[in-house]
Amino acid sequence: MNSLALLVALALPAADPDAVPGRIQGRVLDALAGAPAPGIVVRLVDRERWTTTDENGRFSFEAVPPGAHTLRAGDPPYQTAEIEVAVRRGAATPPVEIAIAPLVETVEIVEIARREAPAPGGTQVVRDEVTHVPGARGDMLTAVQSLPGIANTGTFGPASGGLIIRGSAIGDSRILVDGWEIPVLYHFGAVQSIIPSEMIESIDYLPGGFGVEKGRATGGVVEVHSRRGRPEWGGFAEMSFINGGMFLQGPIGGSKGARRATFAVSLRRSFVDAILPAVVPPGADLGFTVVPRYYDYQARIDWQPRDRWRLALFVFGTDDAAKIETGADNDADPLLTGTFENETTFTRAIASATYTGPVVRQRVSASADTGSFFFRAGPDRYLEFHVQGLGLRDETRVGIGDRLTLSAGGQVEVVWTENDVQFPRPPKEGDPRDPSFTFDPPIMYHEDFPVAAIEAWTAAEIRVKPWLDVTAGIRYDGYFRNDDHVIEPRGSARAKVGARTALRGSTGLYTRPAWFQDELIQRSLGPERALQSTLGIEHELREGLTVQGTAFETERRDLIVYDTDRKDASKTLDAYVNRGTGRTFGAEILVQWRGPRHFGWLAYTLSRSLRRDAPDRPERLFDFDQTHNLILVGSAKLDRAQKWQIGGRFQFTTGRPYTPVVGSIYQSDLNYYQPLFGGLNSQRLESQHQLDLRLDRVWRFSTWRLSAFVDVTNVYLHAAVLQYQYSYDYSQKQAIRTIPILPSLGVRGEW
Amino acid sequence: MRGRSLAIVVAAALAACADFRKPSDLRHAQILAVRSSRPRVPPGERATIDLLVTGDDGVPRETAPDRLEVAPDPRDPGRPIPPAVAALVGREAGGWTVTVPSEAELAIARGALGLPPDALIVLPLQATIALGVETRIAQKAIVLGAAAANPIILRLLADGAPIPPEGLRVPIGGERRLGVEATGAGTLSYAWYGGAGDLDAYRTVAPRLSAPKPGSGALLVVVRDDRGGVAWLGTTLTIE
Repeated sequence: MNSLALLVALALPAADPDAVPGRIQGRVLDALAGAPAPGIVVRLVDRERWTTTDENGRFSFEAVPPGAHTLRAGDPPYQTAEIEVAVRRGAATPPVEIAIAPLVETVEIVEIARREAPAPGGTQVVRDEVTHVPGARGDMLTAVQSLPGIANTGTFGPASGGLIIRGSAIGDSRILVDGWEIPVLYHFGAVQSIIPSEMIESIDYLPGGFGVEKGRATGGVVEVHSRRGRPEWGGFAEMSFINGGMFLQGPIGGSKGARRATFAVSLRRSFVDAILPAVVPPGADLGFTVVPRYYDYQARIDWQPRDRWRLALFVFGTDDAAKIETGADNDADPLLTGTFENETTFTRAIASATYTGPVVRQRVSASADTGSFFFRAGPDRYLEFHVQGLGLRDETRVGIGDRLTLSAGGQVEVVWTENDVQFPRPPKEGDPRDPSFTFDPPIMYHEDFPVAAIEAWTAAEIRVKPWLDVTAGIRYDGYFRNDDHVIEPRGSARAKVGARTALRGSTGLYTRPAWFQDELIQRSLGPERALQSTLGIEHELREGLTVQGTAFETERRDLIVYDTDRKDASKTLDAYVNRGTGRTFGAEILVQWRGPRHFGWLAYTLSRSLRRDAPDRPERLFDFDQTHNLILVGSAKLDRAQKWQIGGRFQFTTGRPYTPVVGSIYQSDLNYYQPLFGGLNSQRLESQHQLDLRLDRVWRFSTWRLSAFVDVTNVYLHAAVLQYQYSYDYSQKQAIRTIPILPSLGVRGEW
Repeated sequence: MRGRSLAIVVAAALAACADFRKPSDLRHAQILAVRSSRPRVPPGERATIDLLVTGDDGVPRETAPDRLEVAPDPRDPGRPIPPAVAALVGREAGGWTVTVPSEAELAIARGALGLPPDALIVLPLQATIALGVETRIAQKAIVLGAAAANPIILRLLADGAPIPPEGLRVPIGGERRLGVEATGAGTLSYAWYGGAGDLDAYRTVAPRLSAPKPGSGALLVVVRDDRGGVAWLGTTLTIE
């Protein structure tokens, strides 16, 4: 544990009146919260003496003989940390300060790694590291995109609102919060996620091969575990170019209650609306009525009525809005001008009760959510959805002896939807044309209906040999909207083949319902299916340096594709068929290193993802196929006092495929040009590469802490091509590029 | 639909910033319209197909296409056109014509296509023409077995007054509100083109013409109805 301990020995002013010869005194701080750590055991190792810190985290040893001594602080739930202290004869010893990192984060990693079926390539991310990943602006969910297997979709790109994991489309992966799916992951443009890092305990990133307890995804799963408030008062207020926010946590009730009930609340508001009008070109003829802005809010209450019972309530939500007025003519799509208006809101409450006993662990959770989505483009094209959902989920694990653990669970979820749509059909994966608001026949749909799903699973984890763990499970998904019922068997194994080496493998069937975008309208569609297989190796080269390699292969079938041309007006409500197939294969490497004052990782993915839209069509590249994706992240604290931290992140990605426009046909009766395309995804955009840098500085005061950061995305201004846009007759094209540089400067005061 | 919808907003914003040629600018090669002498052709009768095009010289001209054929099925572009259908299109005296079968033959065709007896039969046409170094393609649909005429453009207006036969003259720095009087079936739509000056809108009945610098060229409006009819009328524009 020492290797991971954050250790600070700061000499406080020698004029401390309590400083007397032979006395060692100081304070122990929670390194992450920056708050005093009460009740911590501090040992004077060489003298075999010990004491505990008071409510202010303070401790002292009297009558310590001169010489060098070792102080060790920290017991669970903290890691231990050691410092050397020199006591000089007749001189006062300056007070010391020891920062210890909570052990709970490491415990979570171990627990989850055991609890979940092995997911080769899966990773848990650690808050203290990922909040300092350059280019992520302190956002944990943005930093997840620096892990292997996730395609680089950039900021403000056509797919930047979702995650593309191991060659799967956006709708193939799920984002969960405490076990429940959320409709959106990022605010406008993917600059920030909807849950701030301070409200996140940990994130499971499962790019594939996950166990039966997770479903409705043929790609990967990202599960966010919300964070409970700590029993000490603390909080912060912060402000950056992106947003401003506050966070507060503490105990509920008196000193006895402080151990049993806690709370944490957080609130953020964007500043984009203050900055964007200043950077949009004056000639753009855009008038902002409501420029993009967002709120998000979170609150969590935890209560531990008994040692083995924990109750939690987590409420969170977001509100994004943008309204843009433009008077500019849109020559290619005349109706796509005027007012663009969008508002997305949702709120979810998750109540859970968790029992952790020596044999049984059970978690029951209930979720209620409400949300709405409204989008208007031009005079009469709009989408409006309202949803209210209720759900109940149970997960139980029972250990039977040393060799067998059984798990089972189920979930029931009903979502009532109100739908009001007058909008062109959205683009599907593999469709090179953007929808035409003027010339495409719009979907006209105004119906309300419920969407219900039931899932159930069971799995057995068997320790076949001391070095071999095997998990076999089966899952049922009932998609009642489409009257589909699927059984998904999955299995995995983990073999320890050396003191520091393990092999992992998995195979199984995965499905997702036909619920993505407008697929919900068409009840005849069945679920998409994927057979995922993975094989991985984990090896610890030395303490703090691990390497993980995973080969993966996914066979897809029943993919939902267009039945006919999108302009076929008779097919707006019956547009799709389960006719597509696909396959993805590749390998990932993740090398991580961690030390007391530095961390970093190298993530590399080599992959190829293909699709076939119909049995008689040729195989083509997936829209976001990226052959190479290399990410290097490194961050180091520069001084012993850990006031300065600097980090860098470099990414190189193969340009994604695109379909070239080779000509156009003038549709004289409607006076517009229809593009003629070359081979689907037969060309690639130029490769993307960028370097992000981040510098942090911390000032510590007696009762609070001030920190500041500069986070610069794309420091050397390589503006990569995101996509091409074309003139009205497709005779000219122009590249849409990434934002050449995105600096963010922030300050935070914590207490 | 959210992610891509927001991307559309961004794309629209970026499109407004793009430096592309404007469709209203006559000074580059393009097909401006495809005209059938009758957008809906009665049984046994014939229609002539011609084009309105412009080149880099900015001078619009009426011409016959280099090639006219029945357009391929967009759902299956490689499928051959039935010879009986392809034979409806022919070339005569330098022009291209479409000959509509008799009512009896159309009735047989409706039956073969599974259409009700009074259904309109739409024939998609594809015209090809070389404009400078580029080959341009245009499509137009005509209706077989019914009757309709093209719109009629009565006159062009500037600031509410008819533009005289000798053309429109605008002083440098001046502005004119253009207009057109036309009649036709159903809802009419308009497209304006200029070889000089700047038009503030393209698809409107009354754009504003500004004259920031001297020049001369054509000024043209194309009027379409919602039954396939099209007409155009031009004049000269001088900015001095």
